[in-house]
Amino acid sequence: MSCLKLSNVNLGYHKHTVVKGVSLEVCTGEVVGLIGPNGSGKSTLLKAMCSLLQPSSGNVTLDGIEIAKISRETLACKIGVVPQLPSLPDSFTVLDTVLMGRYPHLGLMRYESKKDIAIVCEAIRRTGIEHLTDRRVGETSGGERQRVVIARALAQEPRFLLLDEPTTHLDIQHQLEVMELVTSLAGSGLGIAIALHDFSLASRFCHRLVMLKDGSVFKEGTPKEVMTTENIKHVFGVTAMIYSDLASGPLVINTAISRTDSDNSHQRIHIIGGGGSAAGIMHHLHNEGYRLTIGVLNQGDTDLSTARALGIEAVVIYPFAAIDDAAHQRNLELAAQADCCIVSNVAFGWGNLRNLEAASVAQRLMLVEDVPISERDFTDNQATEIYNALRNNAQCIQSADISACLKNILHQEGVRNEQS
Amino acid sequence: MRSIRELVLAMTMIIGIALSAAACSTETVTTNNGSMQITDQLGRMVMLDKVPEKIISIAPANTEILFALGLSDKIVGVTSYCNYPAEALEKEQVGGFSTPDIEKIIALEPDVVFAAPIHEAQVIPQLEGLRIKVIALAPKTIEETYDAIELAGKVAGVQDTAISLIEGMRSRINAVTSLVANLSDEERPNVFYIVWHDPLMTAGGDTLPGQLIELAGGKNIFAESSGYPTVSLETLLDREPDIIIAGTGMGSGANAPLEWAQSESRLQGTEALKEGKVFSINTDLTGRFGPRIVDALYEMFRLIHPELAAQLE
Amino acid sequence: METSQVNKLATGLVAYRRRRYFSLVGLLALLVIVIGIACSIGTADISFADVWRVLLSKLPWVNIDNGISGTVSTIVIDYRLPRILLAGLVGAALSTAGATYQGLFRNPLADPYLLGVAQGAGLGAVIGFMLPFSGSAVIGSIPMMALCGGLISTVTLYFLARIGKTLPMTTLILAGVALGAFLFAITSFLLTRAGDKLHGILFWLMGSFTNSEWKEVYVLLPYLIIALIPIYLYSRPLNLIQMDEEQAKQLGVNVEKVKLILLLAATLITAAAVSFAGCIGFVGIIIPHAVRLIWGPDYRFLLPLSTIVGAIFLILTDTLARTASGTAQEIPVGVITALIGAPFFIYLLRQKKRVLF
Repeated sequence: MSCLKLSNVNLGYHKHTVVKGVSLEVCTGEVVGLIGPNGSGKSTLLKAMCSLLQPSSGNVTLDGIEIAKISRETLACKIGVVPQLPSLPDSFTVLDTVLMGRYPHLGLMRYESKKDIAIVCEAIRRTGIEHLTDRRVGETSGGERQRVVIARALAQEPRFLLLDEPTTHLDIQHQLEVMELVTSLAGSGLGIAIALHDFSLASRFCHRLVMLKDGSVFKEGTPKEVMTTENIKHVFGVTAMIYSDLASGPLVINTAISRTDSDNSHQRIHIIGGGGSAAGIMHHLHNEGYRLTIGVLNQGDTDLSTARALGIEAVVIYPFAAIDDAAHQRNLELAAQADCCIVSNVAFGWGNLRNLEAASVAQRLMLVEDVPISERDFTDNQATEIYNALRNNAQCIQSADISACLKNILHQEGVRNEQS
Repeated sequence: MRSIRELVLAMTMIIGIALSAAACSTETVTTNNGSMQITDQLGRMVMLDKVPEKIISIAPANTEILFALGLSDKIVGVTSYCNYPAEALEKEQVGGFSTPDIEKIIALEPDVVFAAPIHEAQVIPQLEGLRIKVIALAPKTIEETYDAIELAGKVAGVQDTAISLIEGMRSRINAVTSLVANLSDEERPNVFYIVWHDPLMTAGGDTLPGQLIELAGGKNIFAESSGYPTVSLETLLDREPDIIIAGTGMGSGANAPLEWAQSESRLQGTEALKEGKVFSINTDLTGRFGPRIVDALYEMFRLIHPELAAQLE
Repeated sequence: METSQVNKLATGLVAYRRRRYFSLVGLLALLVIVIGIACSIGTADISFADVWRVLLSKLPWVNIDNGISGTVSTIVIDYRLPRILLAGLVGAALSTAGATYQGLFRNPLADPYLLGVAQGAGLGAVIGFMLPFSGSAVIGSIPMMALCGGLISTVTLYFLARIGKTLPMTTLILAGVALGAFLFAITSFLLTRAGDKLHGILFWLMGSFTNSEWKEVYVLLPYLIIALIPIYLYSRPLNLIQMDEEQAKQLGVNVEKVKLILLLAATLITAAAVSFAGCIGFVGIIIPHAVRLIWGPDYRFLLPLSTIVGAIFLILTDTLARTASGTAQEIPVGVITALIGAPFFIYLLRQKKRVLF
């Protein structure tokens, strides 16, 4: 196994240090993702890894040998690079460009042999650009060009591949193809370091992630360890939803920029929902800065994952269980204390009917009715009865109006709904 | 540091190779027990083994000298600018003044070519390299013109004609100089000679027009300059010209300097314009150090001291 | 891709190379023919047969009864032939230098005079014209002075533009332009003092082959060959530099070394070309583009093809320059190169409507 290692490296341009004290390692057979905001040093680190930038302190070694001491030609046989925005001369054909990847093996004089062409063909096949070989680079799209550069790097027969945001210009299909290619290359024994902006791709396809902040390593580990809401909030300044239990690695969905200074933070809103119906409401109102609570949810309910991700207090019971008295009591407390209660477009069955009863103690009540209650009632009309009774003192709205309606409601006087 | 050393080394080597290559192929003139060794007016030593039968002139001044020496039959080539005497126009043309047609020259198989100073840099070495004899006539004064005529006569074997030509010229010139010898400084008018008006160029003291002006009893107001300097209108006005003489006749636009001098509003206040003393003179006369410098002098004299010149007629 | 497709690509590449080799050989043959034709044309009236008799009789293994007069021999061998060969060498030098610069600077507008070398050579030549000296003294001769001027300005430029161990291209261009302007100013000043030498100097500066001698051919030929070797040798790295310097480095090219060598070689042959022929425009910038239009952008072939096409072009235009207006006055060859070259190039551009650079 071969390893490319950065040891306590400082990097900068003209006395301006961009990377401070970074140590990391990429070995053959693994995909290491570099993630971080703009300016955190991802590209700079990649440049150091291929000897384009010399560290002002620390060193970069390949199998123990400092790469600064390795000749460029030898290094090019070991490390292939796919830069972020490669400029390619327009008049060369795609084939010519990929053939250039053989230069470190051929040198000044030798012509390309069958073996070289076979390697180039394989690189072209793996990047899916067979139909482009005779096209001039000037006539290709941005995404095609990116794949050409990847093919060229593959033609170098490298042990390591460094990619700087290779998916920027690609459509989703080609993004996935490139990432799958990267994975399979690692499987064939290449060591891959890849700088990515896309969290989902990073967490899904990388064996290890290095999260950078302001030029230093903030967190390093498996995607599951690195991709947490706190880490993302700390480094990127956004609130993100993490679904961490998927088989394909943690799935990250961004919300908006975290707002901590909202006027609404003293307003308490209690949500009654479940089954995914309250996710949108929680996101929306969380963004607007309200203090939210939710109940009662079973473990395993997706609304619970959302609530947990957003840091919302939830009343929780065992999976598939019915609502016990303790939970119900708590739910009633929260509903009563809240400035407003929102019942989401949730279906009601015997298991969660008591949630609807809890809504009756709310000072102000909002019922979200995208689908009529009659179609959501699986309790032989009992839910409908309670619902219709609640209607008298409630606002019924479609989901789109929540925000505005909520503002209106909060300005009205609260009325304690006495129906139970 | 290593790369600089290599660089300098490489450069030195290259220069060295170039220079030695050039040096190796310099022609050497073979010596003969021939009849004449001439030193021409550029200091070049030329060996002539016989009296030339076929002569080419690549300068209009030289053409005039050669015709004046009666060598018309032997002249086989002149430049396209050689317009005097009239017979010159009938001779075969071998190109322009600074750019002679080498091929034509070779084809005419001349025994000697009479060249001028402007050919020194390139044409003369080239002709020598092609084993053609070149004699350069390079007079810069009246006396040197006499020497040039004498040299040409020696080369062509017509020394006697040369001597009598020179004597004739000398006596005619003396006639003028004796008349102006006793003129006081105030009696010598300020003369401004225009070579060209845009930029304003005049003739310095060491040029032929400059010398002619002095000989003809005038004061060249730019006598202290050398060559053909470009001067400003301001300086010209400051020096208060009494007479303005414009050189004309050089191809198209020939009278432009004269017209400018007559019409330029800022000159209207000068003595020259007030007295109506703005004249022209043919540059064929004032530009060639040849037999016609005498005519040039007489013309100048007529313009500068008309009353004295009348005495000569 | 299966073996059949690999084979297809392989044969395609071989065919591509073979076509260009054929073109090279064909052009070389054309060059010889053009030289022969140019030898037969001139202001002196010499028959075609006589020309060939003279030429052939000079070949050591040919034994032709030379009934030709010495004059004809002198004209053809000592006047026309060196001039034609010099024109060919200068054309070859300028177009190769131009192609190299276009590759190094990745700019289609680059020409050999970009870096002030021509102005340095011009200044050297003007100084040479103005110096009082006698005859054909070697040191004082115009081409040698020009060459010294060109070399000195090259070295000066190198030290001006160097930053640390690297030679950034933009710095080089800017320094070259500044240096060129400075040298040209001095030259212009000297020109105002030139007196009656002015016409000759101007004619030289505009570019001409009127005073070509064998001496100059003997100097320029080895010079050119020595400089062309590294240029051809590094043509593949030059291809890679077309992307950008970083990518070339990543692909194993020692960019600084290649840049320096190519720059030096191209600049030196430009200095030599200008020293012997003055500033002939158009050749260095347009010939490489014409070659690129026809044979493609691969510098491994672009460079040698430019060399030969440049030689042929300049021989043809100089032949026109010395014969077109009869005996009266030669037309400066730089005028002919532009008059003929520009329309032909525009024609080429319109024929091949595809990505040029």
